[in-house]
Parts: sequence; structure tokens; C-alpha cells
Amino acid sequence: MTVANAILQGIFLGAFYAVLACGLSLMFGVMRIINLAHGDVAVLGAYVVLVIVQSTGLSPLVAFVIALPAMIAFGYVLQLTVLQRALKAGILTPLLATFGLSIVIQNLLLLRFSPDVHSLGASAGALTTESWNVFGSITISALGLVVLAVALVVFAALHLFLSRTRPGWRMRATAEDPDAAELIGIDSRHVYARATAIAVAIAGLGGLFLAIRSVFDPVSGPTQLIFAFEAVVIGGMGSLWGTLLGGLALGVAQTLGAQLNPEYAALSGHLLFLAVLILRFGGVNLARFGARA
Amino acid sequence: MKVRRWTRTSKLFTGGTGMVALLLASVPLAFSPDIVQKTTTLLILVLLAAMWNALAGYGGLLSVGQQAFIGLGAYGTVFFAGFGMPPYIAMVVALVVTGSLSIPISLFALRLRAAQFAIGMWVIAEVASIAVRLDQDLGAGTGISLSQLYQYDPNYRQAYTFWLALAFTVVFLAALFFLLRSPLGASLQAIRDDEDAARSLGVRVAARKRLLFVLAGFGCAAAGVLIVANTLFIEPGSVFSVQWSAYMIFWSAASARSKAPSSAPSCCSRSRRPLLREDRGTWSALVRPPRCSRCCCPGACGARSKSASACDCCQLAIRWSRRSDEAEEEQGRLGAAA
Repeated sequence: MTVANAILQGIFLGAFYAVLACGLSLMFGVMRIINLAHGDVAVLGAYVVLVIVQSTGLSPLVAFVIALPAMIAFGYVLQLTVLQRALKAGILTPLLATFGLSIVIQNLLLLRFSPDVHSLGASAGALTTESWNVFGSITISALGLVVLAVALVVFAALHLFLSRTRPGWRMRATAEDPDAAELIGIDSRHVYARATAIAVAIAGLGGLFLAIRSVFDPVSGPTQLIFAFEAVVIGGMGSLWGTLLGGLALGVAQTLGAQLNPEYAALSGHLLFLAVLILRFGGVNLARFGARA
Repeated sequence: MKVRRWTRTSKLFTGGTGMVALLLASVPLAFSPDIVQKTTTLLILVLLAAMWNALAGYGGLLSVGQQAFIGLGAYGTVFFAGFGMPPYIAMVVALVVTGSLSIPISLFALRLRAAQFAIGMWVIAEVASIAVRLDQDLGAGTGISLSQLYQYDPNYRQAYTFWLALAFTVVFLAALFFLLRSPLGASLQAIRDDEDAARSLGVRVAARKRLLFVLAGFGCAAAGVLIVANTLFIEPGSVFSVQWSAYMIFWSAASARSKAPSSAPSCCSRSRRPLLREDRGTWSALVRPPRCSRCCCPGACGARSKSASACDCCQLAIRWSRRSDEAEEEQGRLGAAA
């Protein structure tokens, strides 16, 4: 029964990782770049929500809705100013640029907010404390359920966006072949900026969940990035629903590892990731983004 | 076109670097331990930056996980010193053992591309960090000090450590320098300029990358060994920190990631060698890429410019020469007017 409970908690944890990884997967799918600042963008989102909560006393969820336009604008401008330039200069430059961005965000947050640890768990009220016991040993927490539901909604919405709407078709066309997309009149810069804006917004959502479910400080971004990237790779790079499954697999691996020894939690996730890499021999899953989604 | 390696400038520069190294060797004799320690840190950063440049600049292997080797080198030193080895011997043993770990790791890591490699290495560093944290004998998460070094007088200890740092830095920089100047170096530069083109010309890209990866593994392990010798205390949180990669990248990027001295000669030097060795069987008559009309390149360095008759490097060279011609003309006209 404890194992069943661990798996269930792993699914809740994995849903959180999937939300974190969603934007990373989208950016990789559309632009073929990995944003090494993704974790820091999520933490930045958490800080924006924190500032709104502290100054207005609103619930973090409401505060996130207020922060959302700012995050979207940030993503859009980030793409146009930094990433677009890096994108032109080969495959290593975006990695280098986003790694630099990650350090910049961390240090700006350190300057502004000091290395103190923060959490939004207390201000989220009943959401963090409510939980139910079923069959004796299985615990279902309200937060876990909410995160899982939100993850499913986010992935479904993104899937519908990519498969049913005109901007989504444009995004897929650009992902397929940017030059050909330009030929039929798609402005790839605009499409890329839109993809980054969506990715940053979802990263902000991940940051919100991070802030509610545990604590964060200016340098907690890199850890989140590693977990998000592991989820993307385990699910197969470039596949949207794969990312959701990858996140869940990572979460379950971590909680099962923690079942043996709390210190094995992160380790077992890393080992699953390395095992997946070895099995694939580093071959990128070439199933095109969205086509299989 | 003839490629000249040892120009007067490069001879002067190499000689000058040697002189600087000799001068640096006298630092512990002339300055206070405080300055010696700071200079040691500087040497460690130079070593790290050079290794990162070899890896990313030449091999195109952007790693944010080299702290794996730094941490393993540092903890290896503590581990071997714990067996009763003299600490400075333990440092060399730790360097050899943990540097050699780069060979098995390369078998796996070099199969990964770009971002997968970058973060894959990072995860390997995290796994190494967790492995150390789980070991009580190595101080677990709280850190451990290299107490065996306390037997030396602080001034002597600082001086020995400095000389060791200088020796490691000189050896690794010299190894990198002569590697790049050797025939192997030409293939490394070809990989740097364009990996696919180099492969099509018969360069064994995977083997060359492994060479760079192993060299960088040893270099970073050496840096880790020096870090523990310099600070005497290490803990997994800082020695396995991704911050090391940030230092390496920024230092290296500040001094321009392996800019080609001049792109036109480098493109010719790399493409002539394999071309002389007849057809390597990699091109059939059908897929042979268009030759550049100016140098012997198969349009390789500029595979993108399908329409132009010259490769990118040569187009650039032509543009430059045109620009300098124009400047000369302009000056002539000005002179005539005066």
C-alpha cells in the first residue's frame, strides 16, 4: 500500500514537473533550442507572484493571473531581443546565451530579494493543507489534485492550440521548416516570439506551483531546469504528450527512490534519465512536434 | 596558398608566454601567502577556461557539467590522502584516476548532441555530487578538509601548491598548444569550423572529440585537485556547483571563443590535407559538393552559399581585399588632390 501511495504521490509530483517541462518542450519543438534559463524564468515568475501577494494580500492564484500578462510580455521581448539573435548563430550560441541569461536572472534576484528562502504555501490557505485519506494509507492532497488537473488542462489546451487553431498551424509549419514557412507568408520571428511567450507563461505557472508546494530562493532555478529537461528527454524530445508522460515517470521514479531512502529521491530520477539516454544512444526522437501530439 | 605556422609574432608570443611562466614561478618567493593564494586561484581559472575552450571552442561540445571532474578530482585527493599517501602524491594519483574516468564517461556522453550533451553532463555532475553526499567517510553533505596538508608550514604549503598549480597549468596549456599545432590540430580546427564538412573530408570527428573530452576531463580534474590544495576544505555543494561552468564559460567567452586567426587560410589549411590523400570514398561523383572557385574547398566551409562560386571564407577574403583596395584608392585620390 505504501508503494501504491508512493506512486500516486509520484504522479502528483510528476504533474508539477510536466508543467515545468511543458514550455521547455514547446521551445525545443518549435525552435530546436533548449532554454537553459527556463528554471530561472520559473523562479522569476514565483518572485513576481510573491511581490503581488505581499503588496496586495491576494491569493497566489489570483496574483498569478495578474502576473500573467507581464510574463507573456517578458517572453515575447526576450525572444525578439536575445534569443532571435542567438538563434541565427548556430546551435551552440542559444545554449550559451540562455546560460548567461540564467546567471543574470539569478544575480538580479539575489540583488533584489537577498538569498532568503520564500514560500507561498502559507498564503495559499486551504489549498496546501487540505487532504483526504482513502483506503487507509493512500493520501490525496488538494494541491496534488489541482496541479494534476492544471497540468492536464495546460497540455490539452496546448494540443488544441497546435492542432486546431490557425496560429497553432503556423507554429507547426515554422517548426517543420522555417524557410518554407516564410515563403508562404509566415513571419517566423513573430511565431517564435509567440512560442517563447507561451513557454515563459507556463514556466511562470510552474514557478507558482513550486512556490506553493515548497520553498524557493534566487538560485533554485537550475535544479528545476534539470528536472524539467529530464522530463522532456524521458518523454522523447519534441513530443508534447511525451513530455507529460516523461514528467509523470520522473515524479514516480523520485518518490519510489525516496521510498528506499529519502536521499535517493533525486538520484533515482537522474538514473532514470541517464538510462533513457543510454537506451536511445542520444538519438533525438524525430517524430515532429505536434504531429504525434 | 602556403600556411605558415611559426610566424615572427607567434614565436615572440610563445617565447613571451614562457617568460611569463618563469616569472610566475618566482611569485611565492617574492609575495605574501595571501597574494600567492589569489594567484593560485587565478591559475586554476586560467586552466579551467582553457579546458572549456578546447571542449566547446574546438570540439563544439558545450558542457555545463565539467564540475563533475572538478569535484571528483578534489574528492579523489581527499580519498587517496586518507589511505596515508603523502598529500602531494595523492593529488597526482587523484588527477590520473579521476581524469581517466573521462574515458568511460565519454563513451556515453559523446553520443549526445548539443543540449542533451550539455545537460547530460550536468546530470552526471549531479549524480557524482549525490554519490559523495551519500558517503559518510567523505564528510557527506557537510564537507571535509584535507587535514594531511596541515603538516606543512603554511608558507611552504602555499608555495608548493602554487608551483603545483603553475606546473599543471603550463603542462595542460602546452599540451593544448602542441596538440593544435600538430597534424591532429588541423583536423581539430576543421571540426571547429564545420563539423559536417570535416567529416565529409575524412576527419575522424568522434575520435577527435573524444581526445578533447578526455583532455578537458584531465584538466578539470587537475583544477579540482588544486582547488582542494588551495582552500584545504571542500563541500559537495560548492565544488560540484554549476557555478564553475559559469566561470569557465564567462572567462572563455570574454577572451573570444576560439576565433579563427583569419578564416580564409584556416579553411584552406583544413581542406587541402585530406584532398591530397585522394578520394576518401565519402563522396561519390553525384554528391560531390561544388568546389570553391578560389581555393580548394569543396564549398564546405560555405555549404550554405549554394549560388556563389566561392566559399564563404573566400567571399569574405575577397570582400576584405576589395575593401582595402578601395581604401588604398581613396588614399591615392586624397594624395593626388593634396
